[in-house]
Amino acid sequence: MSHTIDVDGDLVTRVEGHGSIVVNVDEGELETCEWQVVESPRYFESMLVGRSFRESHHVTSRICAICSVSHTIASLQATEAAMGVSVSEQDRRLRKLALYGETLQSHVLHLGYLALPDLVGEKSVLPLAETHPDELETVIDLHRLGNELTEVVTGRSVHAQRLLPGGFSQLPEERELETLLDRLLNSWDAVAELADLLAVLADELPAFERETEYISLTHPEEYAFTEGTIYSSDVGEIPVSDYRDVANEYVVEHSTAKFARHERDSYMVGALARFNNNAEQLAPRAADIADRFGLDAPVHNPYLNNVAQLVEVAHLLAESVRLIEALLADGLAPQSNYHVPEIDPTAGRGIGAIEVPRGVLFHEYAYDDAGEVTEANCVIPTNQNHGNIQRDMETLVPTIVEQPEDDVKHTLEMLVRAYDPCISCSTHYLDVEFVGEVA
Amino acid sequence: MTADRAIVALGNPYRRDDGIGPALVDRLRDRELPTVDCLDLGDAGFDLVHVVADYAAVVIVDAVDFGGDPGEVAVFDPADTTEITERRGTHATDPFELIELGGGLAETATTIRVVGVQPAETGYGDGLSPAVAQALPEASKTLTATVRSL
Repeated sequence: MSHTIDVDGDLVTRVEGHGSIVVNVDEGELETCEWQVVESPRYFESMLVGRSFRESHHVTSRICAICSVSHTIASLQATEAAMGVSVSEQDRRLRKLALYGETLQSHVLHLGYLALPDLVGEKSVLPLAETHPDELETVIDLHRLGNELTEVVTGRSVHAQRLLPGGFSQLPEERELETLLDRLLNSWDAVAELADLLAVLADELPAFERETEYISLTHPEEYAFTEGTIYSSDVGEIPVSDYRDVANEYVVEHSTAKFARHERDSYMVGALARFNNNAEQLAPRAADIADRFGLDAPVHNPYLNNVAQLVEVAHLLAESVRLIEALLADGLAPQSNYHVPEIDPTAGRGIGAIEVPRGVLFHEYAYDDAGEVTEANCVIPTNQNHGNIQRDMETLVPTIVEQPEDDVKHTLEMLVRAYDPCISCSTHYLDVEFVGEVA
Repeated sequence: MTADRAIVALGNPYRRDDGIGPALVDRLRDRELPTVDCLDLGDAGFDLVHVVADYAAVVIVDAVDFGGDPGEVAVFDPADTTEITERRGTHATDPFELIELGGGLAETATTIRVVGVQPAETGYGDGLSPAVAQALPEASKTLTATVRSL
């Protein structure tokens, strides 16, 4: 039996990522089961070479429009580490706030726009405007909240312009932070409504489990996002300087994106990995949501990455409130608009490591004396998850292969989407091709 | 003066001609368009939903493969693009789906136009192709005229 579903094609050009699932079953025997990916940001690394340290973060911001602030901050960290540039506590808090905003909007986007249609049995989000209008309004309002957070701090919700090596070109005004604080404090009902909706639909998530290695950052004082050391659920803490030994990138024949492995033949990054490694540091309201869904670390069902994202939405909201209150209590140290920190470029090498919506992100640059990039390496979360998606599929398919073809397809697509592969960076569409016998 | 219209650039400047949208918006920032916000949304993000809900009229500018000659400019209403409608149904971020979603949630109807420029190259790299770079002045005029007509 052979069946091909082609969902490719867009008139308006986009940065195309392309992912395909190929399953080949012959007389009940699984012969081929591949997660095929075509795309990686390799070319951005090449484009960085020869550019000034003042523009590296603007270039890498364009790797992805959904996590542009993430790439910007990782890039700035790498540049600052290479040149020994320090960042003030105030600016570190503001960067954290910008990243929280982006992660909030990204999680809500994934839950509401990508995962929710799966759970209610729709092909896209459009029918939800008819069937779940109130819930959709909630999703869009929370997404807007994340954007507002990022925009107040960085000047734009996408491709931030105020972030620069050593700090910010312009700071938000305190009255903007106060408005934002009110907005955040008034958004808890929306988070509760999103949790209520997912609670009703959570039974639709397949009960599949496969233990793997979970890798994230960790920090002794907080649920790590912008600072910390690498943590593996298998071996514990690992210095950020050893990130290449963690993300042992390798090439497989069926993908132009690199795969990664560490202690086992694959590992997982993202919200569920962060939850598994750092759950005890969640804000109380986030921990309450985890309890409501029975999420108790370690969790080995990759489909529950969706629920871990919901838990993080609550955590990010709570932490954003705490950060803004701290900034307002201390008062913003003034600086002029279009401020440019004085930096004397020096030759050096630096690494940026942060947690972004889809997992831990590494940027490493080498600079020459003129402050121009001589070498760049970016390891994105989605590429680190490819191997784990592949191993999940190999374990899952034999257990569901007797199901109707459409059900197999749907379950596998949901698996891939549970990892929230970066729409812009890595996988844009899913083509599922059955080249063998499926029930 | 509060803006009631928006020009939205979609596209990636590091994918050659896909950067035509941001390039055109950069050219327009200093023009006299007092009730128009110029926004660069990069790759088609979910923000389109908010933009469609927030403005009375939105002009999207992007590289569009409509089968024309490289650099050729076309203005169209997304509601007329039946081919795209037929290709929907994935979970990809389809800008037209986002427009429809935002329009459905807006309190009043939003007028949408797309100013599309036929690309020659959309591979990795910065800088527009010669054919598309030459089309910048004409595309800029078309974009300005389109937003003023709404």
